[in-house]
Amino acid sequence: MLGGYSRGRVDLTAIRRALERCLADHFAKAVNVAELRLLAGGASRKILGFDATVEGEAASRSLVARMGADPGRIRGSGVDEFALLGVAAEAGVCVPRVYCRSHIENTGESFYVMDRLPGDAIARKLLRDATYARTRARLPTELARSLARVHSMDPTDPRLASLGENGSDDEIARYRELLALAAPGHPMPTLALGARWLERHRPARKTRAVVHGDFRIGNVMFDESGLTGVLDWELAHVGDPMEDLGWLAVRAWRFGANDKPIGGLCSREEFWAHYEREGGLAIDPKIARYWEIFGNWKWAVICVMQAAGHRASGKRDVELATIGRRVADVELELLDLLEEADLAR
Amino acid sequence: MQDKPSADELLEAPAEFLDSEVVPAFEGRKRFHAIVAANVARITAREFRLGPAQRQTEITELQDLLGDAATSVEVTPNDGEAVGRKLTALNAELCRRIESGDADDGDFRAKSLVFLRRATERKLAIDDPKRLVRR
Repeated sequence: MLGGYSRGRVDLTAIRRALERCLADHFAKAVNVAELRLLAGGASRKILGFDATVEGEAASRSLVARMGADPGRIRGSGVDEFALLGVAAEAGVCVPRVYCRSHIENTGESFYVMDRLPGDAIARKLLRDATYARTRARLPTELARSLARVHSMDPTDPRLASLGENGSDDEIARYRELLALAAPGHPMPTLALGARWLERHRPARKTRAVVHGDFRIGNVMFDESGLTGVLDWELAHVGDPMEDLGWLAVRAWRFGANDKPIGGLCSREEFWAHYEREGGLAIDPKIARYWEIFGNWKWAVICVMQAAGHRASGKRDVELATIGRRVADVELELLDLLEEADLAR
Repeated sequence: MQDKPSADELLEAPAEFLDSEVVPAFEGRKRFHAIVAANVARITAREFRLGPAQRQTEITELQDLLGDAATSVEVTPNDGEAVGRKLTALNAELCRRIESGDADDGDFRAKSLVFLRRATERKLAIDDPKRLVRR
């Protein structure tokens, strides 16, 4: 997998030296880095895995370095993940422990180092493999606990200053704009009807909280014993915590197990009860459903954007080529939810 | 007049080849991509079969919904490009009516929802027919 990566523009020796220096400062001991390899990422963000041996420790530590443009930051989103993960750990969210951050001298490329989590993140394995029966039973409570703790984080903590503030108004306007850019001259009336409904039914903002922004199956690690960590924090922001509960219920994250709306794992009501019991905010089912409708609408827009991105890039990838034809699936869910909401009025 | 097999029949050949020869010969990413490729051939075959009639149906339904004067694009049924332009114009007009608030409630909302559901189900009959039974 490393292949051209090691021979190409990335200098693994320089990265290894930077990692050793960063960890040596952190532990105040000599650190040896071995088995450095690319785990994920290509065009976007690279994740490197390695084993670190700290002077005087018998066992090596299995760590990962997440690379980014600025120290601990992702291009575009500006979220300081390193700081965020530290605060999340303090709040009791199940996250990988972060150690240190620095940059590679000759390229200026930044990175931060964290524990490599055991387990897997692949949704289909989670929902189908017999090995994960216990995990499936435990995840509703464990996810609810972590999410409740995300929402217990103090949005005014100065370490979280990198988090932008966005509520439903900004998000609808932003995704409307992205849709117009992705599909110019291609009218999508179902998505227009969805956007209009979302704009007219915005819930009153009661709580400002830290919102994970992409809390779903596929972005959490698990092993045979349960949740091992919540990943993918680059869309975190300050907003309505119910956004996370709605997004988790989006049809796409059920991976076919539609009788269990929360990630193919359990019912909405069961998850809401766990979340409240674990110290989460009181759930207003209407507001949670609002954000579920928003989530499906947003996912449809993202599919349109991905399809447009693929068409414009000239990349030949048989899977990406079909993404545009997945929009109708999301539109049907959106229509079902809108009609249900009309009836509930 | 083109000879047999028809376009949709032709597309079954690569789909079957991928399913029976390529998919079982690979694992992981290549295997997954072969499954996707077979699906692409089948989507295209269904579009050849169902697409033309669907487009005519959609024009009729949109004209019923929006009124005869909805767009000025003229269509002769066999001119594919003009059918496409007409469909775009009619859907753009529906979007305009939605954005102006006409479909916020009442009769036009109900009728729009009926149309949008039918139109979406037609797309799925091509893109993912199983979705229509897997509610």
